[in-house]
Amino acid sequence: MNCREARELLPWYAAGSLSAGESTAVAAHLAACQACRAELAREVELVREVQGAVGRLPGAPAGTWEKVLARTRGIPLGKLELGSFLVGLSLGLSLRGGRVPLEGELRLLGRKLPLFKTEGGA
Amino acid sequence: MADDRELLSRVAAHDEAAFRRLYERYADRVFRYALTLLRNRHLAEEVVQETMVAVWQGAGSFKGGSRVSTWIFGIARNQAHALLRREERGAREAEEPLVLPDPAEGVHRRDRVLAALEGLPPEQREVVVLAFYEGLSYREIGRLLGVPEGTVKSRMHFAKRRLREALA
Repeated sequence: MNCREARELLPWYAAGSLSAGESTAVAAHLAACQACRAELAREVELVREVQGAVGRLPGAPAGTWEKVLARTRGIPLGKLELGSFLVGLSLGLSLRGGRVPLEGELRLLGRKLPLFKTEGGA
Repeated sequence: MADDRELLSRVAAHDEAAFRRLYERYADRVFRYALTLLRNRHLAEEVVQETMVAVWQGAGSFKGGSRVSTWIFGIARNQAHALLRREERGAREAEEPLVLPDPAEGVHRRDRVLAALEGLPPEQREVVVLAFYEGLSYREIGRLLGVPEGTVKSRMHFAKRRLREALA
């Protein structure tokens, strides 16, 4: 591997995403090339700075999960609980994508087992 | 701790607890990725929502030919571009700077790095974020972007040159 080939791969070497074979070849080149080792130090610094800067951007706003849940599970409309904590039955109605499916769950020793789910009409 | 593939297979069986864990693992990362692409917080949140709904609906179609992260970022990228097309057809939401000025803080190094990233052409910025923040290989980025590996390396080369000039 020559300097041009090594430098093309250095950003990914610095980020740790090269394949084992490529990584070994770059490491062998670096062992024999001081100029590329100096370049690697600059690459590592740049990776660290980009990770630090992007990582401090805000994350997904509060409430995003609830919006996702409303579109997947639906907005709960009502729930009927029968039995005890150890053995019982739950019936739940929700609004999901214009439908109102009914879901039934069996509670058994703290575990929830899905029983049935209706489509809830168009 | 369950790995991504295990979580995704449980999501395919509509396991909500697994879905929540996958959301917690990816929501912030997808939001930041979308933010660097779209530079608009409302649109970035929309990308997170659309991506996670697509993950819930499409988990069963994941064939395992890539890492789960590459699959999820591929979905996020498609959603971001769909939003961009929508915005271009209608009234486009204003882009916001990635760095919100805070007079009390002064200019920090990280703000300079973000400003330098913002100054990159979008196709170069995306490669830098995916390679350095998400740790994707150039092959994975090439597949995700639908461009040859040489193009990915070339975008990285020019991006680094610009970043170094901006940060010198």
